[in-house]
Amino acid sequence: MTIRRSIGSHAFDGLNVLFMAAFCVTVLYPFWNLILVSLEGIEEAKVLRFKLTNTHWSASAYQYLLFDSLVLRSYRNTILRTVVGTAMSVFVCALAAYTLSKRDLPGRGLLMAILLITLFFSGGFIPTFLLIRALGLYNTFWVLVLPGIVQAFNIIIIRNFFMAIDQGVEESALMDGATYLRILVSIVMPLSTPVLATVTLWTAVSIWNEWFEALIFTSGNDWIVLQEFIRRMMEEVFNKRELAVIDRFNDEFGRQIQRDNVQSAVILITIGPIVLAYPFLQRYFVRGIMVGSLKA
Amino acid sequence: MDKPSGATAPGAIDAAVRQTLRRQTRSRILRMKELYLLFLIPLALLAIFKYVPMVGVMIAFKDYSARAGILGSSWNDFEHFKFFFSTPQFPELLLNTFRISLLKFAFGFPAPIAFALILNELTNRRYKRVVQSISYLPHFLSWVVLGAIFKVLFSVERGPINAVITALGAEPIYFLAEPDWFLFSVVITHIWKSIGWGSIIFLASITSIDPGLYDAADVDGANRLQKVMHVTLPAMVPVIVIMLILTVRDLNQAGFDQIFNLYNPLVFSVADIFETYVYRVGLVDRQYDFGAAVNLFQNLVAVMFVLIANTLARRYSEYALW
Repeated sequence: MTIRRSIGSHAFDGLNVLFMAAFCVTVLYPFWNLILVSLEGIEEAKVLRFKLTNTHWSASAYQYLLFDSLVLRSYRNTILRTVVGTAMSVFVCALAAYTLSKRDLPGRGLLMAILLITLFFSGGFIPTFLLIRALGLYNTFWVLVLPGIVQAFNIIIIRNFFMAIDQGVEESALMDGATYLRILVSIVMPLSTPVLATVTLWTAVSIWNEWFEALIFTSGNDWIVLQEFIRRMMEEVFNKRELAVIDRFNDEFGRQIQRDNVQSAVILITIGPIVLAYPFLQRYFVRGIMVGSLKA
Repeated sequence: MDKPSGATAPGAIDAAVRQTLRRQTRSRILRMKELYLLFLIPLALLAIFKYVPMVGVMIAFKDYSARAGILGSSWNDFEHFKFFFSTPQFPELLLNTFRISLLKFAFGFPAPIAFALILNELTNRRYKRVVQSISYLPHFLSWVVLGAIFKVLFSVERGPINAVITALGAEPIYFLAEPDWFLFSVVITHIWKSIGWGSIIFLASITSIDPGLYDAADVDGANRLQKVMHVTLPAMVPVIVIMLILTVRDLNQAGFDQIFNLYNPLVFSVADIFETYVYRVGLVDRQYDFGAAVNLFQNLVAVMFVLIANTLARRYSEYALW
C-alpha cells in the first residue's frame, strides 16, 4: 500500500506476527496438553511441569474407552440425540418458518407473537422440570430431544430466507393442485440449502454440546450423554465408580492407565467430531453469524 | 321523499367494505388452512415446553405440595419472596451476579475490538486467516468441556500454568479456589472463549470501509496508527454502539454455564449467582416453590434489562429488537 514505511511500522509488523503466534499457542496448547496426557505411558512421572511432549507413550486410554461400557453408551446416546434432534428440529423449524413466511396469511402476526414471546419470557427450569416429570418424560430418550426442537431464532432466520424466494413457482405449483407441504419439501427447501445447511450445523453443534437438560432431566446411566459423563468425572461419587472400572481394566491388561489419562481421552473423543469437522464447515458457521446479526 | 340518488350513506359503504374484506379473509383462511395445520406441530411443542412452564411459574406464589400438584397447592401471599429478600443470600447473590457480569463486560467487551484491529494489521493474508480460524475454535466447545480442561490447566499438582509460575520462583496459585483468583480466572477464560468469535462482526465492519478513505489518509501523510485512530475506529463506531446495546441486555447474566462448571464451595462467597443458587436450592434440595420464586425474580430483572436495551437501541441505532 504505502511505498515507504518507517522502522517502527516494520517493528510493529514483526511483533504483531509474534503476538498472534503466541495467541494461537494459548488457544491450542490446552488441547495439545490433553492429547499428551491421554497418551501417557504408566511410567510417565506425574509432576508439576509444562509438558511439550511425553517421555513414555501409550494408547491404552483409548483401548479403555472401548472397555468402559458407560463411555460407549454415552457416545451412542450423544450421537442418537444429535442425529434425531437435529433432523426433527430443522424440519419442524422449517414448517413453522414456511407458515410464517406467507405475508397474506390471516393471523400471521399472532402466530409470530406466540413464537417471539418465548424468546423473552420463560417459566424457568423448575416448572419445566416438574412438567417433564408429570409427563412421564423424566429419564427417557425423548426428554433429550423434544424440549429443544422449536428454536425461535432459527425459525426467524429460515423464514427470512423463505420470504426472499420468488413466489412465482409456488403459485403455479398451487394452481396445479400441489399441497403446501409438497411445495415446501420439493420446491422451497431445495432452494434454501444455504440457510438450512447453516441452521443444521448450528443445531447439531448445540445439541452435541447441550449438557444442562441432560443433567436435570435424566439421572442414572440409561440416558447419559458425553457432556454429562465429563461433568460427572469431576465429581467424587462418580470417580469411585470410574476408578473401579479402571482397576478392572488394569487387572485385565496389566497396569497401564490412570484416571487423568481416561479423563483426557474422554474429553478428546467428545470434542473430536467438532474439531475435525470444523475446518471444512467453518464458512457455514461464519456465514450464519452474519445472517443472524443483520436480520435479528 | 326523494332519496339522494347515486350516493349511499357512508355507514353503508363501510359495512359493505368490511363485509367484502371479511369474506376475502374467510376465503383466504380456507384456501390456506393447510398452512395452519403445518404450524400445529411447532405450536404444540411451544405450548407444552414453553407456555405450560410459564403457567407453572405460579408455583413461586404457592406452598407446593407434591400430592396437591401446582394447581391444587395453596397460595402463600408472596411468602417465598419475602423470605428470600430477608435472607443474607439475597444481597450476596445480587452483588456476585453484577460483579461478575460487570468484570466480564469491562474486559470482555473491548477485547474483541482490539483483537479485530490488530488482526486487521497482519499483512500476510493466509496467516491472518489461520489465526482467525484458530481463534474461533473455543466458541464451539461447551463449558462442561472447557471447565474440565481449565481445571486441569489451573491445577496446582500437575497444571502446566502453575509449572511455569513455580519455575519462575513464585508460589503456586489456586486459580479456582481463592475468591480473587477465581474472578480473575472467570474473566480470562471468558475472553479466551469469546475473543475470536466476538471479533467477526468488528472485522466485517472494518472490511466494509471504503478503501478510498485510506488512500486519502495516505495522501495526507498519515501513519498507520493515525489511520487506525482517524479512519478505522470512527468507521466502526456504529457497530460498536449496536454491540454495546446488545450487551446491556445481558448485564444481569453472569453466565451460568461458565460459573456452574468452574465454581466450587471454596469460592461460593464470590461465585454463587442467582441461577447456581436456584439449581442447588430448587433442584438439589428440592425446594421447588422457593427455587422457582428466586428464578422468577431473576427472570423479571432480565426482562427489565431487555426492555432497557431495546429502548436504547431504538434511540441510538436503527437496530431494535421490535
